[in-house]
Amino acid sequence: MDHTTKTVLFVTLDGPHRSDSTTTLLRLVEAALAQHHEVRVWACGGATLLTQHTLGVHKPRNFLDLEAEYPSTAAVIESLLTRAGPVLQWYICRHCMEERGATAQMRLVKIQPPFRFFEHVRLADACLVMGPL
Amino acid sequence: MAPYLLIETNTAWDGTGVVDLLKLAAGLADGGQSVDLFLIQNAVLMAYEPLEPWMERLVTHPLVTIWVDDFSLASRALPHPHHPQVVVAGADTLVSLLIRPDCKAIWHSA
Repeated sequence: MDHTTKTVLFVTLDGPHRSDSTTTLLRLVEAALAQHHEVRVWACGGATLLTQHTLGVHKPRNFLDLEAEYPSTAAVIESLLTRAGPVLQWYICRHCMEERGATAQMRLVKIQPPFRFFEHVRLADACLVMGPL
Repeated sequence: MAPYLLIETNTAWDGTGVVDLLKLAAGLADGGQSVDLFLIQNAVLMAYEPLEPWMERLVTHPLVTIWVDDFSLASRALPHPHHPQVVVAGADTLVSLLIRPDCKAIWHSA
């Protein structure tokens, strides 16, 4: 299999709690980074909710296990972005973000106008659109 | 010839769209295309006997490779499928399949 450096674009439209797709996305991002690819994520639709700083560092307390702490999606993604540096870019569709009132985005993501999507697709060597359309 | 990567996230019992994807895989392979069918999330359940009729056809097709996601199996406490034509793999394999030159990837979720 080809392991030269590529630019890989993952497009996610799925909200944070509807399916396993957020977990799958994060696994794919980690795997692509481990293979030394440049990774771009375009978050559209409900996926714009994943990166709000208002989610905090931890999820709300689990009353069945009061000692447990689970990181929020924002914390996991921020950690990924911090560790990866510029080889990972996380783009937020401005239209979808504003439509959902999800405007409290963390500082490490980049808010983009919707038409920029096509430019990112054009620049990518490989593209995977995930989530219901 | 460009390889096709079809990724399914649901089971055939979740909706007709899943069977449509399996039919698409069969049609592409019958037309001489190389097809990788990657079962992930709940779709891993389709890797067990008795196979869905279209899956039955795909596992014996010489141009089709069926992959099953290891994490999805583990998170559902499922054993590895015993079918010899089904390969258990992880996210690194999925990325490697995706970045092949001219790969056409289709993700399906119901």
